[in-house]
Amino acid sequence: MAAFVREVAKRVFAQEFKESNLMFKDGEDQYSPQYLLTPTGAKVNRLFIVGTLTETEDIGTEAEFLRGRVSDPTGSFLIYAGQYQPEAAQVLSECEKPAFVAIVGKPNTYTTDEGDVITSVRPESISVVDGDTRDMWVLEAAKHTLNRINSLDKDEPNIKKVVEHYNTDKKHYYEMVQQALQSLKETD
Amino acid sequence: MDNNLAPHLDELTRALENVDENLIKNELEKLLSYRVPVEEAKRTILRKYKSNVLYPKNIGNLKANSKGLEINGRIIDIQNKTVNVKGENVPISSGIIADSTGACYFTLWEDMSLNIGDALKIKNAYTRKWQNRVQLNIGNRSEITYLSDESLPSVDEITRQNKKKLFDISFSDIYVNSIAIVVELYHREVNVKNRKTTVLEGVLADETGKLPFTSWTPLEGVDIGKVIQFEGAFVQTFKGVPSININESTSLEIVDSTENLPFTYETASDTSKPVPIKNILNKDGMFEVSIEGNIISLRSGSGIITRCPTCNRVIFKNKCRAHGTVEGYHDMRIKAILDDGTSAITVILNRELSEIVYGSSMYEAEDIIQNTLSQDAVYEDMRRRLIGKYLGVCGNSSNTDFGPTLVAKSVWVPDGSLDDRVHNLLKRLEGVNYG
Repeated sequence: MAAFVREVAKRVFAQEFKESNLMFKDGEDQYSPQYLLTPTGAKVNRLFIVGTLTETEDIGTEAEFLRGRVSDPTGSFLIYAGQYQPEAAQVLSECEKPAFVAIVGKPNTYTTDEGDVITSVRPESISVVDGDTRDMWVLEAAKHTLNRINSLDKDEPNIKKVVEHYNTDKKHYYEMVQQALQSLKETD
Repeated sequence: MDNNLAPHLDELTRALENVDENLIKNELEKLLSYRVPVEEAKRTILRKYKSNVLYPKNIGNLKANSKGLEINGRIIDIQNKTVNVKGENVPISSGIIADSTGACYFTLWEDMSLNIGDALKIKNAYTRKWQNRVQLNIGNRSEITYLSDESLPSVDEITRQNKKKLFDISFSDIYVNSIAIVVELYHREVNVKNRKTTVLEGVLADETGKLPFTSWTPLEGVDIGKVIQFEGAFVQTFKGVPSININESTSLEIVDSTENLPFTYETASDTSKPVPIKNILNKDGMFEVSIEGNIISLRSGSGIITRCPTCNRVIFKNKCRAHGTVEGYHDMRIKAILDDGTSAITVILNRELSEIVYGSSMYEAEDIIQNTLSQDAVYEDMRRRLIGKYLGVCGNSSNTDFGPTLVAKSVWVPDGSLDDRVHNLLKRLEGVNYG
């Protein structure tokens, strides 16, 4: 079997992503991959999100550094793309807003002086997609999130870490999933 | 030894119980004398010896490239031969060894006469991968002792014990029993030792999956739609996926009462139900499996490519590495990374399927290159149009050194029934216990 396994792209809603603040390393090696553990137990090294790009702003002082906001039924993701993500930065700056976009990217966390953790996404790619793809994503994200909430009682080290750290309120996330699904029904 | 090292050494010997303490000490001192920081040196030693711990293994769970193995098994097939090693003829034996968990090919690099039926304890053997299978190697550092005969199931029990669903059959199985329905069947004439023989080829299916099969004996009354039960069929690899081989020593019967089976012809031959990609990655190869996910990346080598007219290899600047300078021909393909949230796999689409997924013909794509004067233009355009898209794919998967790959036979857009699925998920939410 192949030794290298590509990191899977997790489907996580904006609200849950925003409420995440637990980073951890798998292994002790300097090059071990970093993960963000979310309140429902997603172990995220890569994200796949589809949502509506509502605004972009150049916040760079010298070189271009773009901040985009991508909205889903539960909240919004912050996307940061600079000189090391030239293709993504180009799409962010050139595409008309609002637009449905699919983003593959890595999670990033930043701790403020007050000690709050802010999560954002560093995109590997951004592409413009249609509304059906966006609706399918909401459905898939709901399915994955629901599966994760239902697995929170499992006796696994990472799950234990999650429950200990966040003391996850299942009801809170069940409601988030329900809200997301309900929004799909309303668009019909 | 430096006293400061004692706690580190302690820690290492505790972590590596079965490794000689002096060995660890020497290794650590050596690394330190080469100016490796102590923490890094410890990690290096842990990595080096962690897999080297001697522990008993079941044959069914053997993995390639492990060493220091201890296994108990019974010889169920053996052949003696001589091989030429550095100009010398060396007698070796090879065959099959098995226990109640599985069977495995082995090679014995020692001149020792073993017989079919021998029950053995083998210490310090190692495994390699040979023709897609894990192979046990018994070398001059291995130790072989005989076990009492009743400590292991008999040869007959072992070859008939392995009852599995098709999905679970893998290269690590040598003999297998199962019950399945024939969904495809062909007759083919082959030449075996200058004699014409008719072999039967086809596809078997059950509720878990499909596998190709070959029979070297005529199967009276077997046809498409018939359910067969077989014992002691031989598992081989065919184009990277396991295949079932039926020969004279396989016992096979047609099952007439099919009411209580968990599958019917319709359900078993239907491959449209997608499997989580994670489940495919646990397997070395799978036959006609369906997946659905998002294209999250396109690998380079997608787009318009040039092939050698003789060997079909992909070539650059009309230079084939086997046939020198040639007049290549154009082809189009897509190598997409499909991810469904459980895992990711490379999906390879041929020209026909690429045209469907990309939405432009190869000739239109060639025009893009003509107009932009850039070889990468098609690749760039594909990325723009395809990344993020949902795609359903059916084909054969394999898991090799190149990473998990699925060669597509058919593609589709997993669209519809969004409303149904929303409804089903909301139903699931109603059922949960809030709180």
